[in-house]
Amino acid sequence: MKPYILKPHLTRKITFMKKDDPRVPQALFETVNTAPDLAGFPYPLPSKKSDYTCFAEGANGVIWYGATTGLTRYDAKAERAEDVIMYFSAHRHLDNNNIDAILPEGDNVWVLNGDSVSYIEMIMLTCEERGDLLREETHKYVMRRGMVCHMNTTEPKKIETALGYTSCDNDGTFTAGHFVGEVFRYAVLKRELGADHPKTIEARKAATLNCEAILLLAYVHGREEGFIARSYHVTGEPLPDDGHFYQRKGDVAICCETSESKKTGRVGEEVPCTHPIPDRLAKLYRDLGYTEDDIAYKADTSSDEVTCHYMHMRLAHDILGPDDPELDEIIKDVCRRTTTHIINGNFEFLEHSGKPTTWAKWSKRYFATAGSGYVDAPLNASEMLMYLKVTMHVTGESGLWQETYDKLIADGYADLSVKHFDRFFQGAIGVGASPEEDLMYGDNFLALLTFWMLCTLEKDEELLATYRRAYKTWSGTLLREMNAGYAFPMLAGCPDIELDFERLADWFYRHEITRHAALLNLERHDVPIKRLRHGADVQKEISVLLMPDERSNEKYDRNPFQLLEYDTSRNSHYEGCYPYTFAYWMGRYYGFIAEEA
Amino acid sequence: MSKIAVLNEFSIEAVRDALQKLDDFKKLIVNGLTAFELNELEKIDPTLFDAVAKQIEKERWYPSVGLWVSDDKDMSEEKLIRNILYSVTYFKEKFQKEYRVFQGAKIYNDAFTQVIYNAGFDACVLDSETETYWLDSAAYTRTLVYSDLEKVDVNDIDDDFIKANDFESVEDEVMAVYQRDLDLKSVKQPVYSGEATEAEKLLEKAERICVQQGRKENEDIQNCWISLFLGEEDTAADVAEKIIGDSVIDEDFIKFNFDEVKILSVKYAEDGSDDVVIRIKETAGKEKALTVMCDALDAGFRAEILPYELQTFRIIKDGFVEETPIGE
Repeated sequence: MKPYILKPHLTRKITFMKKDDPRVPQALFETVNTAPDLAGFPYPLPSKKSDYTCFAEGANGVIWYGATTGLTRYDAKAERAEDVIMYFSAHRHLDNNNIDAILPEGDNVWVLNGDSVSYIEMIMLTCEERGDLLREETHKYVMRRGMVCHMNTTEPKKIETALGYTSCDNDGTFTAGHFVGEVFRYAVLKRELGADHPKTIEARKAATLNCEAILLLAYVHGREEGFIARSYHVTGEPLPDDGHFYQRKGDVAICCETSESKKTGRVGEEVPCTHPIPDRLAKLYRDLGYTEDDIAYKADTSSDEVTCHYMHMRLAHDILGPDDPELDEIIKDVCRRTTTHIINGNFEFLEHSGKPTTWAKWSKRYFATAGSGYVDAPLNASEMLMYLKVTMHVTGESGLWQETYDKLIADGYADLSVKHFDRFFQGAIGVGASPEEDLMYGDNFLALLTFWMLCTLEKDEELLATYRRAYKTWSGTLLREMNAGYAFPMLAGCPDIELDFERLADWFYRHEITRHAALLNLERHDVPIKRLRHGADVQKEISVLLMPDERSNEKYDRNPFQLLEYDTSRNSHYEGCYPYTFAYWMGRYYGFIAEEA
Repeated sequence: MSKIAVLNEFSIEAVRDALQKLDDFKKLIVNGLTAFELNELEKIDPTLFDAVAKQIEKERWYPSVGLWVSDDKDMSEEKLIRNILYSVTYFKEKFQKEYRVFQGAKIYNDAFTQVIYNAGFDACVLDSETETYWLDSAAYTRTLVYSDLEKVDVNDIDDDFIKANDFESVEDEVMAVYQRDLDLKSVKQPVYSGEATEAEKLLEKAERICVQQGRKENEDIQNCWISLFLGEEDTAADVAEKIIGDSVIDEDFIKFNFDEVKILSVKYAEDGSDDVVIRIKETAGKEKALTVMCDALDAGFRAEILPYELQTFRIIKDGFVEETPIGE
């Protein structure tokens, strides 16, 4: 296929300041407000017509309308339908939604909100430039020891006050998501600029750092068996009261006191930690002055983590491995140890006590349990097949891996993979919910990665056809998000699917250059609120997929239609950039998209 | 396997016989009587109706919830929606009951699954079907069509038979299927849209005129729809024509950015409020990002519609909009 050509596009850049800031032009305070006459206005407006109190014309005929419920930008000549009406609201674009005055300045606009001023710049960026700016923010403020998840700040809307540490339940998962963008960026730059270009060298270094951080989670616990920790903290970083943490001390790690560990009776449990951590990975904390005794790792690992680790190992082996044999050997070691651990655990991920973790089960025993086991079986069976396929690919070995793969195929694992939608629908109705209310957004991401891997590794035509059929049982939930990060892995796995590249282009164009997670006003006059089928008060949704710069900044595993209510804590929260860079660099790598020459 | 005792005959004698058996045998459960039949029973014999109502309340009598009248298998989307809506609303209002199994005829319209799913049904038992399968339709809607029921006519069974067997409601028997291991084929309903009759078109026009002119004639219009379900086209048409009078549809009252969207209905909400309901269907088989403008109601909103999807919007106070799943 020919790549879809992405063009430079206007992007929002917001600067908040107090109204007495010397940068604010005096003319903003001297504007005289006149309510606009919007009778017969040809497009739906985000605010009620009677809420608009002022307007002003900017460059190129663009009109800015101020309301008591936010700011609207109207560009009658916009090339793309989504750009005709744009909406700006508190708290990512404005301090509050009551607009006191507006003053256009070329393509940009000054907005007065009580004591605050927002300077909104509309800057022209290529999609690559947008990605670079997002990446810069993430690498400077969100990443810690090579891991990327999210970060809180001490002051709202001021990323420079980032705490430097965070608590993340799935560090391996989200760092692996970030790694995809980084490693494909490296591969594309190497292909286009050459291995010795400074940008390529920087890209390789960045991807390698993420790779090492992810691999470290497979050693940081020091257990002999191939376990993977969810995350780890070092001395000085507060441990959240969430899950099971083990503090290393010499040759043992001791379970810390949390609400969860008290409930499970694991407080004080001692787990040996004698398996060495490769020096190359230990550098990530040793270079910062920490030792193994400074580490508290998080256990009770889920299949989310494990799946993302295998996806990461496959890509790292393929793209970084050839030029970095030392790293490749570590990848192979993790792959062998983890797969062995799962096989020895009868396809369940085991804690040191021998008990399975809560959510990492790929066994027929689990699939036979009513409820979650029955519903999870199609995805989890496919994950297990993917782990084995990746292990064979990475290690170059067959033996036990192939025997196990063949046995699971004979046991019906591949046949189970196609039953996802049937069982998901049945499971939701069976518990009295409606399927659309019972969606597990985290599972979408896992299915996406699992079948992307399976469909690009399996050579047997019959099995490949089964995996593609299985992938498509997820298409309703994956493709409805119009998220290039979901569409591209699906296209890589199922080349016959049809994608709406115009809408995917909108998705790229309409990302902001920050991952500030402050919420926006979603109760808009132009967007219907969706009433749920049984009227259950589980989660309110809007019925239209808004552009990324007009909805909340989230990870992939969240509902993009969710009507989130205002929460001040999000003003001090920043997400990593992977939702954009994962999709962008994957699209470039596979040749699905290209930048305009 | 439990037996499903069904009241097949709608007569005073048959209902009395079923009630007597319910009194005599505490384990018996009776299934039957549509909204139309119960409505008629209340008019003909209120005492008998009260006795049935008590059994419905005690969940020993399960009515046949689905269409108001189930005779016509080829009907337009709007007629189908109203037919189901009035039936569902009847049971909600009269008995405070919401049932999850649709019972009745299979309607030859690709909107059938969408409509019953969005009306809150999770499964259906269709008169003509002999297989159990998933029935799929547009907008990822699906329902379970269940056919493996051991039905007996409650008027035909004797005391010995009742003593020797267990009884279950259609509702509980079918919903229990969701707890089993299932491996069913899925069937996609072919694209087909029933034509509205002339009387229906007049009625839809009358409702639209009412909204344009701010006139509420809900009760008359609801009665007209019920006349239509019963095949009384002339009665419905006469009332609709009276409401319309010399008025004409204002084509600019509601505007879309695509032509391939069919307006099924523009009307006041059934609950008597000032809310206006707009129902549309995508007709070209292509997903669309829609804009809908209705200046007269101070409303303008965006919508995303999937191929052949039905969508219902409710314009509430100040032109704010809700998308609603049930056929309002």
